[in-house]
Amino acid sequence: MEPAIDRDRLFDLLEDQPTLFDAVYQELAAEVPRQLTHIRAALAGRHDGALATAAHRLRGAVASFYAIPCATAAETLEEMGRSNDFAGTPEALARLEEELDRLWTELRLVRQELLP
Amino acid sequence: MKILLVDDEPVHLRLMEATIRHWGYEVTTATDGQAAWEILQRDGAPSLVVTDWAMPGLDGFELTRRIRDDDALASTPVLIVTVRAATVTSDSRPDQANEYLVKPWNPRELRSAITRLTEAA
Repeated sequence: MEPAIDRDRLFDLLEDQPTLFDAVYQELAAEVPRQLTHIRAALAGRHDGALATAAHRLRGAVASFYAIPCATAAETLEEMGRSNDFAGTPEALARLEEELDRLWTELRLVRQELLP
Repeated sequence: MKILLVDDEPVHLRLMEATIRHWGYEVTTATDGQAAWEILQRDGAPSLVVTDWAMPGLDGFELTRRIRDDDALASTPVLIVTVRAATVTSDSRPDQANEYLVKPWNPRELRSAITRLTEAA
């Protein structure tokens, strides 16, 4: 299984500014639930444009942490929104939620390393 | 040297802002293209624009087109940062921006691009 985060690239970014991690982590902690709420509402209402927009924003947010599997899961939902294809969205949402769980677990470990 | 960063996604905006400030540049931010355009109309406008592509309303490409069409701003360098890698590699991409960078970026690539563009400004 691909790691939740590309640690080498993340640490490369943070090597000389470890306090940056905490600031951006807080932004992510606020942004992810916000966009997940938008995604779930878009799926419930079958709003393709809203789904694409929320999934795109979530994708950009997690990509900032080099969380490629999570970004890919968000991209799947974004593409489903763009093509107005809701057939596989329950599975795609479940995959995104699994990847987010893996992401948070890994980010907590990174945080402990950077800010003991 | 003042740099304008434009992105509607707060995590990436915060990350870029802190990183570029850390490199010693003065940074101002906007969360959409229209706000960025208003900043560019003021005295002492930024010398470099680093903008996301996909934003609601005025997006990065339209913002770049407006900059190129404005006599006072036309020579301002623009770096478009996008998560849409296919756009950057496509031959059909608009060519009004000076450079393109794919998210998630490598800090050395971002710094090199900013150095090139600020030296050219």
